[in-house]
Amino acid sequence: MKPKDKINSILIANRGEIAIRIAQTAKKMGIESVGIRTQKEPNAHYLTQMDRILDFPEREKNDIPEFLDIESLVLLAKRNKIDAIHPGYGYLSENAQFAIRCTEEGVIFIGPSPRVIQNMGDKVIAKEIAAKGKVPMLGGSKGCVDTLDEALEIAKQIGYPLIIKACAGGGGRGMRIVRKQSEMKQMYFSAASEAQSAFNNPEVFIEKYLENPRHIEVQIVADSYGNVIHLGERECSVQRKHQKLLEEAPSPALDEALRKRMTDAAISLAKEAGYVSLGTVEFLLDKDKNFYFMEMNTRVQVEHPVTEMITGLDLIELQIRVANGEKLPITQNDVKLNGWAIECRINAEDVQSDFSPYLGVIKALKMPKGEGVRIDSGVTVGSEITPHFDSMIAKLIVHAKDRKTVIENTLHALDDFQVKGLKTTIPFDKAVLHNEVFRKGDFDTSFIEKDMDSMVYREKDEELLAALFAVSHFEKQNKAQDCRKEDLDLWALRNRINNM
Amino acid sequence: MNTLNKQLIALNKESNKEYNFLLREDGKVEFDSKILDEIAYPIEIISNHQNEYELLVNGVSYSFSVETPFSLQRKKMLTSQASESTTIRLKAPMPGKILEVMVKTGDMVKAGDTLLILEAMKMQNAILASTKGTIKKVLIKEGDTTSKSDLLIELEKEV
Repeated sequence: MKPKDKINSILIANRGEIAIRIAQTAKKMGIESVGIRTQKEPNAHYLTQMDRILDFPEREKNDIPEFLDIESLVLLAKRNKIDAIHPGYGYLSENAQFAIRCTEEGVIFIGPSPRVIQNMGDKVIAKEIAAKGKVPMLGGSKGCVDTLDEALEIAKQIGYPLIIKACAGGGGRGMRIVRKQSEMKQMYFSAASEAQSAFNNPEVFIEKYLENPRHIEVQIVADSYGNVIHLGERECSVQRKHQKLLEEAPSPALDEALRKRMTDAAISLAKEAGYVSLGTVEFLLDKDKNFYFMEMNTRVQVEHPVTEMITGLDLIELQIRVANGEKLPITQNDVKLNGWAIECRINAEDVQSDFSPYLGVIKALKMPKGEGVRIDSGVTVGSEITPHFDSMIAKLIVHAKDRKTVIENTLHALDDFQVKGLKTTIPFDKAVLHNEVFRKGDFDTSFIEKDMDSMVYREKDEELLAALFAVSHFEKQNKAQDCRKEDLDLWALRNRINNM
Repeated sequence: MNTLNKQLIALNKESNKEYNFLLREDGKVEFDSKILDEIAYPIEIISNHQNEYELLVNGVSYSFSVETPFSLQRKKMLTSQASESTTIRLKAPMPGKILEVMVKTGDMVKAGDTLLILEAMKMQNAILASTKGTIKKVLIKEGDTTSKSDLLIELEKEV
C-alpha cells in the first residue's frame, strides 16, 4: 500500500523565483515550505514567501556555494525533521550523489531515483538507453573524455564541426562548438575548466554538431505505477550561447504528426529509463524535420510555466505527488493543449554590451497584470543583483488563444514591465517579438545571430527624448550651481581626455 | 535670436549624432526635430558624471555628453588627437574574476588572440585582442576581481 501523506514539509534547496514557485505549490497542497537563508543574501525576497526559514549552517571555511553543499543541506533537512527536499533547477537538481545522500538520511528527494539521474546525467548511458528506446541520435564520443589527446582522437574520427559538452552539466555551461582542429586545444581546456567550476567535474563529452537546428523539448511525467504521459512540447530555439532567453509552447514547427512522433519518442525513452518523476527530453530538429535526442533533464525546467499555461496543470504539484508515491491524477487523454504561451526571461543583463551581467539595486518595479499574464519573480524593490548568482530575476509568462494574439499580448505586458535601477533583457524580448522571422515562426537556434538586426527594440523618438532629458538635467544642475564660481577641474579634464 | 538664449548639444557617444537644443530665456527648450506628442516613456538617468550621461528610455541605453558649442569644438579637437594614439586600453566589459591571463608584457599578439579569461556569473568569457600589437602593460593577475570598466591590459597597436 502506498503510504499516504508522507510529505508534510519540504526544504527548498534553492533561491530566487524557483524557491517561491515551489513554496506556492506547497502552500496550495498544505505542505510546509522551508526556505534557506544564506549569508550572501540574508534579506532575499524568496525568504518572505516561506512558511519557515532555516539559516544555512555554519561550516568550516569552504568554497562550495551553499546550494551545492550536499552534506550541509541533507543534514539541515534531517536535523530539522523535514520530510523532503526540492532542489529546484540548477545547483544539485541533477546530482545523483545528492539524491543518494537524501535517501540514506531518510529524506525524500523530489526527483527521480539516483540511478536514473546518474544514467541520464551520463551522456553515454543516456544514449544507450535512447538507442534501446529507438530514439534517433547524432554520432559522438563513446564516453566521457578527460584528456586532450582523447578529445583530439575522437575529433579525428567524427570530424568538424563538433560540440564539447560538460558530462555533468546543462544550461550551456562547459559547452563549446569547435569548427576546426586549431581551435580544439583551447576550447577543450576552457570547456573542461568551466565544467569543473560549474559542476565540480571537468569531464566532457564530444558530439557531432548539427548546424542551426531548432531546439524542441518534450515535457513528460511518470509515476511509480508505470504510467508515463507527455504534456506537449516547448520551443526553445531563441538562444544565445546556448542560454535560452524566450520560450513558447506549443512549437510553431510541429504539426500533429511530428508532435506524435516526438512525444512518442520521449515516452519511449522515459519508459526505457524506468523514469519516475517530472522530466524533459530535449531534441534537436533539423530543417527536414528529422529530430535527434540531445539529453534528458531530470528536474523541473526554468521554462515549465509555458506548459502549465497551455495544459492548466501544476507541474511542481505532479512532481511532489509522484515523489510522495501517489499515482498520477491524470491520464494522457486528460491532457489538452489549449492556446499558446510565451515566456520571457527577465535577466539583469546589459543587452547592448554583449549581454554582460548588470549588477545593481532595484529602485522601483512595475509589473504587468491582467488575464493570461503570469509573473514568476524572485525580486522586489530593494533587491540587489550580486555576482554570486545568475542574472535571471523574473519570468513573464503570457497565455492567449493563439500565437498571433499571445505575441501582441506579451508586447503589451512588456511595455508595462518596468525595472528602475537595472538594465534588463526587456528591450531584447520586445525586439524578438517584433521580429518578422520570429513572428512567422520560421526560426532556429541561429535566430539571434542571423535574424536580429538590433538586440533592442527602440520606440519612436526614444533617442531624442533621452537627449532632451540629458540636456535639461544638465541645465538644471548648472543653474543650481550658478552661484559657485566654476573652477577648471584638472582631474576632470584629465579624465575626459583619458576616456576618449 | 536673443543673446540670452543658450545652445546646448547632446552628443551621442556611440553614434556621434548631435542633438541641438536652444534653451530660451523664458525657460522653454527648442530643438531641431518634430515635437514629441503624447509620449510617456519610462526614462531614467543611470549614470551622470559632470556632462556625461547614460540614460535608459524604455530600458534601452543611450549615452550622451552635453556640450556647449565651444566645448564640442574642443572635444572634436581632442578626439582627433586621441585617434592618433596607438595605445589601446582594454577595459573589463563586465564585473568578474580573472581566471587566466594568457599574455605578459612584451608579448606580440594578433587580432583575435585570447588575452585573458574573465569569469562572470559562472560563465567564462574570453577577452580577445582587437588588433595586432604588443602588450604594453598587464594590470591584473589571475584571481583578481574586477569591476566593470577596470583597466585590464594596455595594447600597443602595430602601425
